[in-house]
Amino acid sequence: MPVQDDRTLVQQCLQGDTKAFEGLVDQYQQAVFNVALRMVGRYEDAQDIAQTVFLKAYQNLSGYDANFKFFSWIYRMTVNESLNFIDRRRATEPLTEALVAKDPSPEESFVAGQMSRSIETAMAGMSPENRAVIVLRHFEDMSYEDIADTLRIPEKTVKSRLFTARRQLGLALSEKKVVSHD
Amino acid sequence: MIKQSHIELLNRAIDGLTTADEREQLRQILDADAEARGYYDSLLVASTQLKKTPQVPAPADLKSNIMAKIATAKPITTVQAASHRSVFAFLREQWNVSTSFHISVGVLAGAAAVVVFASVFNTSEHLSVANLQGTLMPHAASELVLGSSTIVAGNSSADFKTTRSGNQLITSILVHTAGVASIQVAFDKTDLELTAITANGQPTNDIEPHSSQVVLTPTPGTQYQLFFQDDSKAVSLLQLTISDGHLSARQEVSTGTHPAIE
Repeated sequence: MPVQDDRTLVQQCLQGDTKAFEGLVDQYQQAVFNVALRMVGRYEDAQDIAQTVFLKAYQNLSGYDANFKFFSWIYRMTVNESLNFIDRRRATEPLTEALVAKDPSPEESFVAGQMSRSIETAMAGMSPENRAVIVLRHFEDMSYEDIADTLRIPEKTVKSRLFTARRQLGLALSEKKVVSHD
Repeated sequence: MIKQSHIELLNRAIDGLTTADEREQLRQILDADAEARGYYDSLLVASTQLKKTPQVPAPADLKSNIMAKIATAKPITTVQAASHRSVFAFLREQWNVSTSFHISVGVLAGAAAVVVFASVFNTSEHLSVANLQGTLMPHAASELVLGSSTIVAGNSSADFKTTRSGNQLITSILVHTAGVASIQVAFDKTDLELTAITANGQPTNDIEPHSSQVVLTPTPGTQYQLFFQDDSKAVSLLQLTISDGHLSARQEVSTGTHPAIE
């Protein structure tokens, strides 16, 4: 990821160049939206979370420590915002029902066409913390080290969560006979 | 029962991180151990299915919606603060120093290392305090000040100070002026658990379980304290926001530390 470019954009933004923030949005909107979507499972909710994350990032940009990678910072905000959202939702409805909606909206149908339903269902059975590690490793292709930096947990915890989640996912998918031999 | 070292190796293989020697070792394990083979197959299923799940395009209007919100966002006004960042950076620096002290001195004499460590600890705490401008109650000897600032929004201001004592964090807030409409303290509840809120030492405000923020409607001259349990001691952020109803100002405090500098 273009760490140096990110820092330059942040600096320009802090100097009052709002346009520079557009560069950061361009760079990360796809990733932020997808992380949120994999975490919460609903298109519209992921859209709301992505907007909130960028707004918070903008408002807290002066608190960003350039010693750390910008993408770790914004991914962490995305995961935390998603976890908070899941907690709020958990208070009103079971997680699995939320993630495996029976009557999808047009947007959700669109997502379902691209996001494997079986994966979606299997991930709904995971703890949000394990899901976050799977999302960052497999959908965002992040290294163990970057995941540890992003979630601010030790690398050994990343591995432990990843191995557990992956095994859980594999078993769930095998039970549903979604194995592909292509 | 699959050996832990084999589980690690099988997962490293899924992540494409194995060396040629490890791949040979992997082949031997899979040939000899049916359970490991089943485990590996399940990992392959998961990995294959995940790879087949494509990125979903972000909504076409996401960027314009974000920029529209930013255009109307309340400005962040002046923050007069002793730099919690510099304090935190200092602490990180001290941790590096103490680590090297530990290693080098520990090789020479274990007992002497304890003395050196204690010296580093005292120095870091002393210098942290020297960087601060707190007008709140003095901190106890065992406390470590993580951040202290005066935050100003319009004509309103309040002092904030966050300290750590073992696994407990305390955020103290003292409001100076009558114009403060609200104070919001937001935190990562994955790292911090809010256990109590007091006003002038008396319990106040019901704590909402699982909430990641507290909003106070403060009375001038009252000292509020928020108590957090922080068992993880992970690097985390407290966001302190003061609002006079029109303008708001925010400050962040890094709460993380390392056991070596407690």
